[in-house]
Amino acid sequence: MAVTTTVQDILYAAYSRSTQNNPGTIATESTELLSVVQRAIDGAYAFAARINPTFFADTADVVGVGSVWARPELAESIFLIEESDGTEVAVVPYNDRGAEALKPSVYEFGQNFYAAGNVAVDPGATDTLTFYFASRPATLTDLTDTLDALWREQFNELLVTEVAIYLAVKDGAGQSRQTELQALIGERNRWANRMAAHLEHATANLRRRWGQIQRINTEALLPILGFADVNAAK
Amino acid sequence: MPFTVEETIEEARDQHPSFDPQRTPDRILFRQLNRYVRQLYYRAVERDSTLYSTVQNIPLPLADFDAGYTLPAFAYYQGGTVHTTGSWKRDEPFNIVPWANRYAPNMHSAGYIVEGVLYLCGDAEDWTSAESIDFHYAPEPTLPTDITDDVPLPDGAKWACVSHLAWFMARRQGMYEGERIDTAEFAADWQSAQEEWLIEIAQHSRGEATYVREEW
Repeated sequence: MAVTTTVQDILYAAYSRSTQNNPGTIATESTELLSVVQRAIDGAYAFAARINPTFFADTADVVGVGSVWARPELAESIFLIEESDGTEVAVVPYNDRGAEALKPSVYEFGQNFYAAGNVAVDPGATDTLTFYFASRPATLTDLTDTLDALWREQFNELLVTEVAIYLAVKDGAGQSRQTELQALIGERNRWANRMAAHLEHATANLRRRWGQIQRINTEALLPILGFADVNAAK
Repeated sequence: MPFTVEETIEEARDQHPSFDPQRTPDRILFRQLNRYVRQLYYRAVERDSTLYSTVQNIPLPLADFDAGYTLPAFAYYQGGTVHTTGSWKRDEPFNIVPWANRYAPNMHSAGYIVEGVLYLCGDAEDWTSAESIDFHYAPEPTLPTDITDDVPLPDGAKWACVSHLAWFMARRQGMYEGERIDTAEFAADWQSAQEEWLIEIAQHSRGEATYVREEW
């Protein structure tokens, strides 16, 4: 079903959460609260990328420029790259470019993807690659804008409570609205959990050959703890 | 129908849900499979000496008798035939003898191999009645260079290759963090698959009649 909720709809619903909210006075709508709604939906899409990467998903065709392909602007989490004939392009570490030497492969550096240097099989310098990714939501520019086309309106309350929390905090959460704030946080968390549950079970008949527990390789660094372990053993 | 590296890897990944390409890229499995195929090939020809056989015809006389004849790379020598000319035209067995025995008496129709070069025993004059030698050998396996290449083993070896790669992935994961896998089960699967196939190969020569040839 097409999304019809506008930013303004979210703000109206947020105001109605407290008799202490005075529309347009605690925070400006067209700049401040518009951004709050944007951040809230950004956050929802970001955690959705971990739970169900294909839920808020999109593709982008990127044309190579001298064997360099720019990371698609709206890509929160890229999970597949293909050549135009559907051949998978592997993403390999920048410091192990031969990791999949028998397959077309690219490495990422500075948010650009470069041909890995496996000359015989790498994508051509000006080939078009299709990136599949968990997407960020479309940018909201006006209060009358409808939310991102892939947003699920059943979770509007997640955005509403985020705005309501923002208003309560700004309006003096340290004193008069503390109780209300705690209630709002609890409610926001419940909606977040509900959304997470939906993302998990949205399509429950998926069959997998492998990767039932999906893990991702990250570039995160951990210190070598060899010396620490030796010292701990003493 | 021969089986490819790609389908061997695919089937190996079927063996456990964590055997995905992100943990173990195809290239690693490709290299491991090549090492294993070479090993298995040698074990197979050990049980059935003619499982693979190629003939190299060596025309005589040699261009340079003392320089010998550079042989193609081979796994091992299976036997040979000397073809003679003239009224005595007939075929004789060609024997390979150790280098140390090259001057032993009665080394007729014999040669020795040093660093891949075949030298004929005796003098050039001893070989004037011979027109060629057929050198029968098991060739070195032609190992795959691409993931789409065929594995140079008979179909029956597929499960041994698949289960070997499965064991390899299980062991690899056991060396690192992540889901630990009991490698013993995979090792047992692999060992039994390998053994079964080698038994199958050994059956090939079961009906062969053999005889003891007198050497003097």
